[in-house]
Parts: sequence; structure tokens; C-alpha cells
Amino acid sequence: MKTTRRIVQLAFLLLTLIGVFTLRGNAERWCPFGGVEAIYGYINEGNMLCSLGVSNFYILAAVIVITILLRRAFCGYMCPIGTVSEWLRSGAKRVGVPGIPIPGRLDWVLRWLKYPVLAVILYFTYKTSELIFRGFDPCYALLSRHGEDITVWSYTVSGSIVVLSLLVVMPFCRWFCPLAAVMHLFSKFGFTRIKRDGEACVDCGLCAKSCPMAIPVDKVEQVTEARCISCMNCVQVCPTKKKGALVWGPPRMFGRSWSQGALIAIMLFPLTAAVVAVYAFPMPSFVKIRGEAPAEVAQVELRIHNLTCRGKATSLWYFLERDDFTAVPGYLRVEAWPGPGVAQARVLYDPSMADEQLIKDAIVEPYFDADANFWRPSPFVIEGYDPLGLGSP
Amino acid sequence: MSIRTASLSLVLAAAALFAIPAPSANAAETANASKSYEHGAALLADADFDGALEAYAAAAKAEPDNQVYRQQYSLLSRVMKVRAGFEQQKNPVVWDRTAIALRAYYEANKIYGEAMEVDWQRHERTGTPETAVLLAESQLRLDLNEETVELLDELGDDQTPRAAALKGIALARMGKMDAAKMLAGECCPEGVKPDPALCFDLARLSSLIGDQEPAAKMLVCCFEQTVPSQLGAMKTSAEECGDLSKLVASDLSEKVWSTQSAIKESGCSGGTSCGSCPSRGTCGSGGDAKGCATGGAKGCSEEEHDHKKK
Repeated sequence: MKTTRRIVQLAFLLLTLIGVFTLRGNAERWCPFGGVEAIYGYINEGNMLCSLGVSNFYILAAVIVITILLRRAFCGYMCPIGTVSEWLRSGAKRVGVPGIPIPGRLDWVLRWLKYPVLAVILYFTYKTSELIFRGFDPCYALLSRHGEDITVWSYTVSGSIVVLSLLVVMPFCRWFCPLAAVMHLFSKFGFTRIKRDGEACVDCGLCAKSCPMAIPVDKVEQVTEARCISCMNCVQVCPTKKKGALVWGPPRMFGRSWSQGALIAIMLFPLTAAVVAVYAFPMPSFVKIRGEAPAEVAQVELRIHNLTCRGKATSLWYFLERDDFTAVPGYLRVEAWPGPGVAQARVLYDPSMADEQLIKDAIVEPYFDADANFWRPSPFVIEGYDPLGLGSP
Repeated sequence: MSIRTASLSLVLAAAALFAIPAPSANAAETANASKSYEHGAALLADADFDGALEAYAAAAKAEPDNQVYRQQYSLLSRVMKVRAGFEQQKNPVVWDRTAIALRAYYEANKIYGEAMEVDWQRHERTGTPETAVLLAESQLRLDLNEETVELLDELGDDQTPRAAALKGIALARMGKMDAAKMLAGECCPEGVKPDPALCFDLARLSSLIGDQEPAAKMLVCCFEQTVPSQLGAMKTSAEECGDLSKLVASDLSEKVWSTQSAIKESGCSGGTSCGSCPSRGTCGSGGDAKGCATGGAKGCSEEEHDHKKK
């Protein structure tokens, strides 16, 4: 069981690292907590924060479904921070680094910290319309490739978590993770759970000792604690597991026990659905409209360099809306998917008043801002459109 | 050494060899690009637009990742297109807008002769105090002091504070200090807060007539009202301005040139540092127009954009 979980953890970690460092993807777009941060802004304005995308919502939905079914299995099998944190302690233990025992009472107090952490993050995120957590997020520090909002605090927080993880099992996941705070409500009523047969149990206490979340497994009939990550360490170490003293499965009325394979299969299903949804239902992260759509609307699909975030998407809109020599008259609708590298955009327009050439020129040509009395050079380069013959950057 | 170790060593050595970049080739291209760009800027200042365009193109092609070279080439290319159609423009509103755009480009790139030419044409067409002031500004840049006085004298009662300040500067340069001092007293009526341009002109005038303290005060006022993204250029321009040479040489200069802008500006970084942008709360949405100053980078609030459009 432990080996199987390690393999799954490794697979997700490698997937993340390859996606970020080899394929140069935007990890933030796939972060479920990004969905939490962006939800208020998206409902309010119809646009995503910074360089987030609707993929964050799909992944968040998948994680919530997984949590409802499998409690915090996301933490135990998928999250790169959970994996790294757990392995650090595991490795430290192997080389003889003694752990710091955390008394139950202290652990209980510390577990509450994640709620004010969540509240503060959400408050300032919604107030500033900015990913305020970036500057402290260990995940961002790990996966952003020394990203845009990295600060000294990013590495300080990450470094502290690394050091603490050498001495305590999964401290960030237990005490500080804001996503864990979000998952709590869903996990509390999770469908699956560890079940203990009191008659087969010999009260050795090994299950409680092995639990990374410090759950007193030996004292309960069913583990319905919200913090259970379904790691099944307790089941694995149980000396009477063949007698079924500890099993993992659904509520008793739905059956006795399920295998770990079933957990992995259940976990992969909503995740796969989310990934498919990202590509099958690619809703734009940024939408701006001018005027009423006419009877006939034309559209042009563009791949644009330097369309990195919402601010730049707004700039794109201003360039299209310009009031100078390259003004685009009539109806306009811009749908954009800002992100690092080359980003996608779609422009819908009235073909009786504008054409594709005008749209492209409006995006790439400098324009004179009469209010500010200076020329604004365009930061955008359209892939495959090189009117100046300079070649692509 | 075993075959396996030897093979591994060979592979690693080969990988290291391919991994090492060719520094001399990259450095040479960067140097060439930089040279071309500087050459282009020099040609532009001499109003050699075709030569400058060629040089900027060479710079942009030598270093395609350099945004500055690419943007400046694109900008000059655009301006030349606009210039080509400028004389034939029949619509007076479009003509005037084009003239203002061209002038802004000439001023920014120190092509003062061309700027003055445009200013003359505008003044001939409209003859307003505003066009007279802009023309006077251009004339003063080219040391046409007598012509400036003559031009501004024609305004008569329509003389604006800026016109008075510019006339005073011209007179001071011509050695007519008494007349210049009289104008210095008339330029800034009580209760009227001078805008940055007037502050700058008053600073020049005060410095020329020997009043360094009022000059310092006016220049501080100018800097405070300049948006942060343009403050550096403004300070350089002030430092290089011959009329302010006495102020630059005085004890007051350090304090004056350390003045910071009092204006909050959207510094849209396109994501590189949203955390420090004062407009982050309204980025991309309708919001507080005060969160973004005129002259700030686009990417600030919609309301601010609409406010400016009005």
C-alpha cells in the first residue's frame, strides 16, 4: 500500500515537474487553490486574476469531488507539497534525524491556524484583485521557475517548511495549508473512511503512531476526521489486518472494504474529467465587449506573444479600442487566455466595418495616446504576422 | 576504468560541450545591435528618417528578442507612414490630431526642427494662444529668441501664463532682464496652481533672472506633478536645460533633483510586479479613476480610460 501510494505520488510529482520545467507550462493554471482565489473576481467581473484560467475551476471542482468521495486523498496522493513534505520527513528519519513529537493539544491548536490563513488570503485577494498569496506560497516558489511575484518571503516560507518537514510529518498540510481549510467541510462528510473492527483489534496503537495526520485511529470505530488523507498507513501497519481489524471503504451499508486500487481509480476519474473539460470547454479567462453584435459576425483566432496576464489583456483591449489612425470601428468582442509564452486570443468583429488586417494592425502597431501626449508602442507580436519583416521573437 | 564509466564520461563530456553557449557570437550580435540602435537614434535626431529606420531595423533583426529595438523600429515605421499621409490630409480634425501626434514624437526624439515646422503649420491654420505657446516652445529650443518675442507679442490680451513665461525666457536670454522680471511677476496669478509645464517654464525664467530659490520651488512643483514613469526623463531634461544651468550649479540642486512624484501611477508590468502596482485593485475592471494617472501605462482601470476619453 505504501509502495503503491509512493508510486502514485511520484507519478504526480514527475508530471508536475516535467510540465513546469521541461514543457514550460503554467503550473498556476492547474492549482485548485487558484480556483478558490479567482472565484469571487470571476463572478463579479467575468475575468480571471493575473494569469489564472478556467482550468483552475475545473481542477478545483475535481478536487472537491475527490474530497467528497475520498476525503483529503488529494493531499495524500497528488499534491506536490504534500509529497515533498512527507518524503523529507521520511528521508530524515532514515538518516537518523529525530522527529519532534507534537503533543495532541498543541497539534489541535495548530490545526486551527489554517482557517485564519485562508481568511486573510481570501480577504486580501478579493480586495486587491491580485494573487496576494504568491509572495508566500511554497507551491509558487517551487513551481514558478523564480516567477514574477517571487519575494524573499517566498523562499523564507518555503525554506521554513522544508526545515520543519525534516522534523515533523507534513506540517504545512496539517497546520497552514489554506486549501486544506477549504477541503475541511467536504472531507468531514467524506464518503469513504477507515473502519476499525473493535473485536479484531488488539489495541497495539501502531495505527495511531503511523498516522501522518496524528489521528487516534485506535480509539475510534470509523475515521471520519476531516484531515484523513486516506494514505492507509494505518491499515498497512496493523498486525491483524488479515483479520480485517482495519479496512478502508465506504459506509457500512455500502459494503465492507475497497482496495487501494479502487481509491486510485476513483481519484483519477474526476481528475481526467477535469483535464478533458479544460480542452473540451475552453472558456476564456478574459472577455471584453463593445457594442451590440450585428447579424453577421466574423472572428479571427490569434496566437500572441506577451499576452501574459489580465493587465496585458486589458492593454490588448485598449489597443483594439484605440481612437487613432488604426481605429477598429463597430462591434468588438475579445476573448483571451493570457499566459506565459504564446497566448491565445479570439477577436470577433463586424465584417462590414473592419477586417482581419485592421484587427491585427490595431494590435501590433503603436498608437498615439492624445490624453497622455505620447506614443504607446505595442508589446504584442502576433504569431505568423510580421508586417515589419523582423521575424518572430 | 570500465567501459561503462568511460562511455558515461564521454556522454557527459559531449553534453557539457553542447551545453556551453557560444559567448563570443551572442556578445558580438548584441554589440552590433546596440551600435545600430545608437546610430539610428543619432540619425533620427538629425531628421534622417530613412537612415534611422534602416539602423533600427538592423538592430531589431540582430537582436529579435529585444523589445526596445523592435518597438522603436515599429514606432518609427508608423510615424513615417503617418508623415507620408500628413500633408494630403483634408479633414482638419484628423490633420490636427496627426500634427499633435507627430509633434509629440519629434519632441521625444529631439527632432526640434521638425517639431517647429509642425508647430508653424498648426499656428498658421488655427492661430490660437495654445498653438502660439507650442510654437514658442519649439523656437526657444532652437534659440530663436527674437522670433519668440515677436510671436508672443501678437497675442496681446490673449496672452496665457505660459506665453508670458516663455516670452520672459526669450527676453532674459536676450539680456532684457527688467522686462523679463516684470513678466515673471505676471505669470502666475494668485490662487492658480500651475501645471507641470508652466512650473517648468517659470523655473527656467526665475533661474535666468537670477532668482534661484523661486526657480527651485517651481521645479520641485513640476517634478511632483510629473507621473513617476516620466519623472526620470523630466529630470534629465531639466538637468540638460541651459536655462537652468545656474540652478543646477547651485546648492539647491541636490534637494530639487531628489524630489519624487506625488502622483500614483499604474505601472502595468504585465504581471512582473503586480504586487507593487497601486492600481492592482482595479486592474482590468471598472474602478477608481484616481488609481491611475494620465501618462500611466495602459492596463489600469476602465473607468480611468473612459474618463480620459471624455
